[in-house]
Amino acid sequence: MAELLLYTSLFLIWFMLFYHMFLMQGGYLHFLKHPETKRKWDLEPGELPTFSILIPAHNEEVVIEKTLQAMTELDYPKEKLEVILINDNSSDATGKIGEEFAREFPFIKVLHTKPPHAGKGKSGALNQGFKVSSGEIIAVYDADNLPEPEAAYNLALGLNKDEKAGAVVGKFRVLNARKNILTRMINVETLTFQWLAQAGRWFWFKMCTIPGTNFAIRRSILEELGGWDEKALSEDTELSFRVYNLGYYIRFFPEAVTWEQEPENLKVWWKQRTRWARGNEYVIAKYLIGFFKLKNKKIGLDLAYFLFTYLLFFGGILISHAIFVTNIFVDLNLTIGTVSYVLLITGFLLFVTEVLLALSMEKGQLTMKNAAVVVLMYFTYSQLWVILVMYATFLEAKRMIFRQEVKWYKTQRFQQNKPEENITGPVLVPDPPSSEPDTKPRPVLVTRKKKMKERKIK
Amino acid sequence: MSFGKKLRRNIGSFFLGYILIISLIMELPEASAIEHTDSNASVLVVYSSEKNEIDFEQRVLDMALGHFSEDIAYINTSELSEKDLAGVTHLFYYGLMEEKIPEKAAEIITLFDGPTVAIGKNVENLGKKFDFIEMGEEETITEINILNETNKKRIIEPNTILGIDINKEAEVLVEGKGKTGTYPFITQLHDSYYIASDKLIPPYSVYFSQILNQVFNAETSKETPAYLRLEDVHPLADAEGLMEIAEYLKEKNIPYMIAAIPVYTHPETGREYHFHDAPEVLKALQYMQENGGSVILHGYTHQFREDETGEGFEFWDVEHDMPVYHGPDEEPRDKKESDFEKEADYLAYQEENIQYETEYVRNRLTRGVQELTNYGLYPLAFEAPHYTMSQNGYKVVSEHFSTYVGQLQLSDEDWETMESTPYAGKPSILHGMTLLPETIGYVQPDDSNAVEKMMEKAEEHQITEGGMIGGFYHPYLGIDGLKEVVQEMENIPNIDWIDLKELGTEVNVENVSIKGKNGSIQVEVDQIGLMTTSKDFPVYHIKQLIEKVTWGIAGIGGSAVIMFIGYTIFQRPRRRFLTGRVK
Repeated sequence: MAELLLYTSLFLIWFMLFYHMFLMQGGYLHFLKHPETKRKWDLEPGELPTFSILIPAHNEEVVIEKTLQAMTELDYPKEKLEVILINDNSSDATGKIGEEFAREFPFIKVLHTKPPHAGKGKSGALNQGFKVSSGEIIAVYDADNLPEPEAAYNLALGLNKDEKAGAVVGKFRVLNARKNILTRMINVETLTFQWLAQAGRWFWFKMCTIPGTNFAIRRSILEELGGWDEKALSEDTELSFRVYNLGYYIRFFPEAVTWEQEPENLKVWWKQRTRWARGNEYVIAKYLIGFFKLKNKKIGLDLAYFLFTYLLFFGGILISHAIFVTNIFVDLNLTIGTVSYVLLITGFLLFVTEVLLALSMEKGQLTMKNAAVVVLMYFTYSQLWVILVMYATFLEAKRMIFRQEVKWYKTQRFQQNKPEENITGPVLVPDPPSSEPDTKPRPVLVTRKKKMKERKIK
Repeated sequence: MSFGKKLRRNIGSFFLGYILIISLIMELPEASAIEHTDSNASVLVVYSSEKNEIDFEQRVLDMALGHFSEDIAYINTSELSEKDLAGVTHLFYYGLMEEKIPEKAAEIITLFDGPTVAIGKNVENLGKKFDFIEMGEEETITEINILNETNKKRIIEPNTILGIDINKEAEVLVEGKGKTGTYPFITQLHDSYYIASDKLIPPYSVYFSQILNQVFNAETSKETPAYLRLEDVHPLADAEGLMEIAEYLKEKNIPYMIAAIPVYTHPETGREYHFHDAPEVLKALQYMQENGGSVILHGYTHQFREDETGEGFEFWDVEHDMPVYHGPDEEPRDKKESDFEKEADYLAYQEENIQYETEYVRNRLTRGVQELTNYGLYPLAFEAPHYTMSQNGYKVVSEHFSTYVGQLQLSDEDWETMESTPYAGKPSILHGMTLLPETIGYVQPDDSNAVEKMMEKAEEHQITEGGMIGGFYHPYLGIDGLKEVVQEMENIPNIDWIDLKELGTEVNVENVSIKGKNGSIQVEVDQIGLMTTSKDFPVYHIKQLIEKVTWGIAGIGGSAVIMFIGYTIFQRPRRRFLTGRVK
């Protein structure tokens, strides 16, 4: 019996690891390929569409000023740009700060929502914002995001040049990666997620998941879909599924970069990630039940992926952990032998090499320090995920059984150490090496800016 | 056209005929050193005994006769009638206890026209044929010798023989020597032979068997058949040690036997270990089977109740010294006839017991063969754990195996009454099975002269020309002891290592049929039948597959690791190259 469970868990885990291997391979190939795509498209970007950016904000006074500042620095024709701050029932200065910007910059608008149409979470706020927006393209940024100046242009470019893309997803980077060990790990995690899961799936299947920020979607699609699902805790995953279902794909375009804050303590991380996990489980349940009604069966791939990740993969890990621990105390008469150790080590090496490969794709990320973080992550951060998914599954199961109302948890933001220096946003060094002054501009960004100007002149 | 066709057809039939002839030649009984059974000999043994049924001593005789005849019948002196002699070619009288031989019986014996052998007591009443013998006092001898043959003299422990005086015409074939003189042990006059002892066990057995060649007019073999058996190989055996032995015997090109026990029962935990729990041991056994070794089934668990495998008895309840007529946790079913008022009730009780035992033995044999077969190990013979089994037990074995290896328990009353015999043969008590007797014992772990003792016995058994030299070795003792035994055995003149795969041995249980022939093993398995017999059988194969798949997974995972490391390392020069290009 123990043997059967062990092999079942091994196969579940390795099925997943093989899929990850495959995705990582795709991610790497996309990494090699995408600069060329970008280069070609830049030669003929086409007529830029009108572009509405929605920023849902609920009590975001700590970060919103910098975010709006970054919006003002976007390299996008201002007459075609619209930034809508949805001040969703905030009780702090979020609205006030927004109004100040709106007065100065005509393309920034503030939408104040009040109950009963407010405080219903991100989906509700986005739907409100969408109603008042006018752009052909709707982009979403979280209230803590600092998009690079070229981000909006790149998102628009993706949709302009690729008719079949219903949405374009950019890349996000971690603003506070060097803050502490947790943010370092999150940084590693986000990079791996984007190059493995996003880029990999895009390369092989022309699919990727809308991450909730730094993405743009065609207005026509949103209208057809009737906006965001207000019941979904992870409205982004849910929206992705519906976009696929219309027959569009979602393009991963890593040229569009935004910088965002990540939780700086475990408590915030735990709450945020629980929400994501529960949200994804909600989506699995919703689409699994209605799978045969779906038009685009390719969603099955992603659905299966989520199903595997959240239930089977974690189930497999739990069983194998349980067997491992039990076997220390009780002889389970396992005959598996050498191969189990080989698998254990191979699994670990696979994790490390995949993550290091992902890190190597971002300049300056493949460092000894980060390598040590990766090894440490395997034993800490990754294991924490296991517990988290268990917890989320428990909550989600409870909710479904007792038909509880979902409650949105808004991720707590953190005041960055030197806000006055960072306020100018990502044109300055967003991820400053501690030894260097924060104000030193990044050569890469400068080059980009120059290139951008040249393009405009043309 | 038609000519061509015809020619082809002719060639075809020519080939067909050719193949037929070839296969006929192949079908001929193989000339083997161990088989000397004269299928025409028909033996009748007339015996005297307390009980009106054959027992230990008759069975010892039976084992000896089995080399010369497949047709051996037994009759009590009091029941002998003329018609019992119909078709009989060789007549034996075995006088175990003193009795007054009925005149009619003596008359029948006298009238029998063929070789007649009298053993032990009562010879003075056997009639004219044995007139040449006159009984005297019992004597003690310490030396024994075959006259007219060289190198057959042996010093023995003091043993008694029946003192006799013989007629001058009679010839002494074997002579004993004591302190007070020489005494005839085996004598002959014309077709009548007399053996002056009612014991046919060692040291007399080898002389008796040798003289039987004369009685049956059999040609003896120049070769000395021999075998070596690796004993008690169970799932917890030392795989490395086994492999070492396998390599050694392979290099020596010596065929051998492996007495395999499919299940090891741990005496403390009660946990059962099968060969699938010990893949390394299994691999070693498979290797052995492919390189000279022949697997023989040595019980299924080699234990009963909570005994340890290899230590316990499987087909004998040794605690109550009785056959297994009951489950391990049940009250022993050991009632005597006197416990019953009516004989019919006792017979019914005994019938039930026999039936229980029959099922018990059959199930274990069947399961044992099936389980080994499922692992790709094909047993070609059987050896009872500690040789112990009731006579009914051997009968059940004979329904599934054509060959038995080892000693035989010769009484249903007491497990210790076991014996061997010098020659291979087909004794009637084995119901058609060929017995490959074990004659030289084994290397006892704590005896520094163990090998010497074995070789003494080997020498003794060469008194019987073409007699079997069979011994065994426990692999856990290490390879050095084995090497010693092998080297010593190789010194035996004209040694001929017997190979079960050459003997035409057969094993048949439900869904499995195995033949050892022409040096290879032929197996017929009803796979569906076998797989549906027990879930353990398919599970083993599924596990094998899973293990292979698991290694495959590890392989693919490992390649990906190498690939990703390659990409990562390549990243830096690539970036440098690209930056260079931008400049």
